[in-house]
Amino acid sequence: MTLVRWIGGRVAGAAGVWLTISLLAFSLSTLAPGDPAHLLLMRRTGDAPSEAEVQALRHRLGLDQPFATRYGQWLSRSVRGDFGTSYRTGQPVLAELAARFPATLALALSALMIGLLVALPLALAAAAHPHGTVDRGVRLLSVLGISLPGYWLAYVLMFVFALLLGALPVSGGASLRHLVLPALTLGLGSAARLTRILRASLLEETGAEYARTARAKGLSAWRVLSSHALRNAANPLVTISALRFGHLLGEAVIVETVFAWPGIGRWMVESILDRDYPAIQGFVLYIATIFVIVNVGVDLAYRWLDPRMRLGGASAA
Amino acid sequence: MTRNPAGRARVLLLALLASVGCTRDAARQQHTLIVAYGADDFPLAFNRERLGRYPLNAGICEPLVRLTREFAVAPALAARWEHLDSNAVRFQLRPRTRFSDGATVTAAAVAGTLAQLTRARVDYSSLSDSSVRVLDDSTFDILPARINRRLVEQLVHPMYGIIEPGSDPARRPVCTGPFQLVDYVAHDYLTVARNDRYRGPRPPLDTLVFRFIPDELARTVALRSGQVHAIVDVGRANATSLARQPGLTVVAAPMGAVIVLYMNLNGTGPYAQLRDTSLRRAVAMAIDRQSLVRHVLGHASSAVVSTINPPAVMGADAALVRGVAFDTAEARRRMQGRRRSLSMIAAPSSIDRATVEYVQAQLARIGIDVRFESLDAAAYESRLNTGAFDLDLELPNQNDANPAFLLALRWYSRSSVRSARYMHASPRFDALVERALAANTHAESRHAAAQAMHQLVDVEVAAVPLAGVSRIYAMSSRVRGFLPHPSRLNQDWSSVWLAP
Amino acid sequence: MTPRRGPRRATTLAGMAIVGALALSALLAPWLAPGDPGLIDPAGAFAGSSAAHWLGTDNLGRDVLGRLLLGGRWSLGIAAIATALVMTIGVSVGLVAGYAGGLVDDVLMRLVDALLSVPTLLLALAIVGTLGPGIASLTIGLAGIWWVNTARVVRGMVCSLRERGHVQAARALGASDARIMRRHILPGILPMLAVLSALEMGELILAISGLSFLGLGAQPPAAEWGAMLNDARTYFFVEPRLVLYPGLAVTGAVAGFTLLGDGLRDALDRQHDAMPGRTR
Repeated sequence: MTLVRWIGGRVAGAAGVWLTISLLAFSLSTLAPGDPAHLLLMRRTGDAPSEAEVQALRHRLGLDQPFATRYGQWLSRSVRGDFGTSYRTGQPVLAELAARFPATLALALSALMIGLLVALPLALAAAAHPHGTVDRGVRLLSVLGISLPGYWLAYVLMFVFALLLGALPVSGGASLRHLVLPALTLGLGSAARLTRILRASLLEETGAEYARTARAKGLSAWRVLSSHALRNAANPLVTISALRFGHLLGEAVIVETVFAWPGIGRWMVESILDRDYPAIQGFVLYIATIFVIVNVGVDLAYRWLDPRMRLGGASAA
Repeated sequence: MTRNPAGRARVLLLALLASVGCTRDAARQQHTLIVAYGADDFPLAFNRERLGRYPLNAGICEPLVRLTREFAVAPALAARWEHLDSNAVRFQLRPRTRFSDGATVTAAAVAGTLAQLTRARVDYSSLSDSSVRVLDDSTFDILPARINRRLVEQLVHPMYGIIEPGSDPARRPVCTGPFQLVDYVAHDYLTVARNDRYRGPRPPLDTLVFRFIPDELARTVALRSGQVHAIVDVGRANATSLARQPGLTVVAAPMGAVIVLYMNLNGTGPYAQLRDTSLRRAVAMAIDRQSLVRHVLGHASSAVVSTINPPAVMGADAALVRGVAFDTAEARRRMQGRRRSLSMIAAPSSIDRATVEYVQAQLARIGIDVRFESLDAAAYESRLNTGAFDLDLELPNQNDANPAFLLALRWYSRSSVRSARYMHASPRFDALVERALAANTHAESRHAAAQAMHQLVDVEVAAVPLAGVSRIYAMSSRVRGFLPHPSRLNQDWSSVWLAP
Repeated sequence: MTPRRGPRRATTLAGMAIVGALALSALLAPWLAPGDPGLIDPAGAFAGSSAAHWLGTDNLGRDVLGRLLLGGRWSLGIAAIATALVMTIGVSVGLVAGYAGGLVDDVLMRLVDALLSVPTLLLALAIVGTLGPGIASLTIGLAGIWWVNTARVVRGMVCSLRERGHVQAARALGASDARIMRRHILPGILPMLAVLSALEMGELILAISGLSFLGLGAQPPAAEWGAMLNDARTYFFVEPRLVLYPGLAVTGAVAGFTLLGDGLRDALDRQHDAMPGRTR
């Protein structure tokens, strides 16, 4: 299959996924209890609107049209960049999201880095002697790590660093110092999950043919791991990191709320608590768009990184 | 470096002066006070035209008259006023007052603001029925269409702050207050700086920053870690632990609001249960207000109160309202062995969970199961205005000097507020409220208001005042000159300064 | 390579022990809890550990231990129902997709891929947030999202099982699809389902307490662990232990289920080397 056709196939698949999510996002509005026109008038005036006013607004907003028409209009507007206006702030949803996304991105990337920094050595140590003491210790630690609720870890870290040590600020702001605690909270949780995956991946590699050959030749376990297995585990590592990044964005919601980090997660929670439906829908669509792009990108990177794939054959590394 | 001793002395003197100047500059640079406020409500659609004035009064604008700490009316922009025979009030402006950009405050400018306010659909007193007649540069009349002898008492509300005509009330209001707006980022901060043209004493602060931190814990942590100098709305439990911290002070304002349990007397369908006076009385009797005050709310910051507004507003007339005595046995008897289920809503940002759960627990003891749902602001308003509730817990504030303010707003049958339809009690109550609104003197008004309250609380048990609360502030010990005002809206920061 | 069964067994046993203890305490909560955990005693708020209150009292004077036990009923109960729903939907979809193959498989897997393209928690947050606070919307919202992973795993397994000898033979003999699924495929995937159930329980307990912490789940005065933690954080400085206990409870519960799931999966891996498991 030529590269162009392959890319074309991927893009078409991604578009399909995106459309499905857009349908889901739009359907959220049907789940919402209450009448959106009524709610909108309520917010504008702070008082209960009359039936006539509600009907007039429904007609003006096109809410009395069938679902398919409304979905089509919403979709065409969204594709052009108009995600609607937030009930809460009166600003365009896309602008709000775009303004806050970099903060969440910074948080997620830092957390991922911290996670990898902690997970790599731990996973290596564990995989070096499977079922040994270190391995069991690491496995236990990682189980505990993934069981910790993010919001709880946040308060523990807050207590230790902000209060006992008085070292770090705990809310708001978008500076490096403000980033430490939230990134640490997210990162440690990620580290646990990454350790588990990496360890499993490394064990798979050490069980593989080439690794056993290398061991037979006399190379130490550590050598095998660090120079051979890790290199082969690199590709899945990229995919895993991309996947983890997705989960991180999800967990970031809670961490951002606790630390008042000005990202889209916190904005999403506030929108939800305020029943700001255009914002909620816009958020789902925005995230989906980003992820679809990232997934296609990862696929491309994967294919480019792995010579086996590129050659289209099954030759050994 | 000169070898001349006189020259060297001169250089040293210059250096000394320069360093003093530098330290003074440094000290001046320090003269910023950072206050952690709660949630930012300015972006809400109906608050957008009130930036800096309501619900956060940042000291930018001044109304014609102001509310003192004793809930009395004092002159602000208006120097004098008199009630004319025709229900109108004539105001005389203070001479030579200027807006922060230098323009003179004239009667025409005032008329402009008032006209804009009367056009606004959301209005919570009967100013919307008034017209303004300008007599000369500093004199004007306000003529209410309906009888409204409480007009001046209502005008203390910061919503009636006078804005320069042509300035944008939603983005850059230009007014006459001790501060002027510098910057505002929604949900983040509002910054004001000293207004050098302010007519009153010069505010010591150069800049005042209000940071919006909706979460109480985050505010507390911000104060403890030194990121802010002062925080507002400290919960009672946290206040005690903060008071024990070195370097921090906890200040309670005089009582400014009362927690009231409103009831839906005129509901339909599933919400018709409280039409029964006996059941209402049982509900009132089941709640132990002493325990609520002493243990849940914290003794130092609350007290059992039977009036709808703070007793300081009612003065001696407060004694007319006795409140329903706590009596579980009698309450159970009135239940006649039946079990009931009632729905309760609570004002989202002012009533905390502990109070809600306390009321739930107390009513559970006499066989009433209270269902509660936490709602966002819009859903809450919607339920309230459509009568989709049985009980409603609120913390209404007394923000002006009119004793009948809350009564006329929430229970008077001719109130413009929709929920009054469900709360309103009886024609006798209405008549008493009208008497309070039409009384010629403040004393008569207060007396009539107290009688109306007695009718509401004691006779008809249409509402149950639970406890009066004081707003608690916590701040660094460096903060000086802070005078807490019972009305949160009228808190003045212009006398505050920061010690080094 | 001799598989060492000792330590691996330990994991499973530890997991089972924790899960068993949790289940028991949740079932027996009304009898285990000293007194009535819903009884408020404002005068005795923030009391430390004592004979009457082993873990002290909260801001309204309620017994913390009692509320934790009750909370177990909420958190574990909701998670159990949600897991059951997730398993039902996921297995059904996976079975149908894997067995039918072709267009049905394509369509269903496209749907699964689409749902997987958005971070699960965010999507759940959006749905639960839209439906409104409350336990019903929490359960429905979570179940409606979480089934996708199960569906994918089940489909993979069904696909490979379908090619097995005994299944082909049964088809050749003219057995009905339903019969084949019941007698040949289902037993093949049951062990994996046990693993998935345990792991899903762990994930769902975390998600439920997380959403309740944000205010979207159980409403007052329900004692759900996440909601308890949310209430307690206002009093973080007055009594930090109130934040500690619900967090420990959640951690313990999730760890228990995860250990159990891990142990079961290891046991399975020992039996079938090429089992398409889900690595986390």
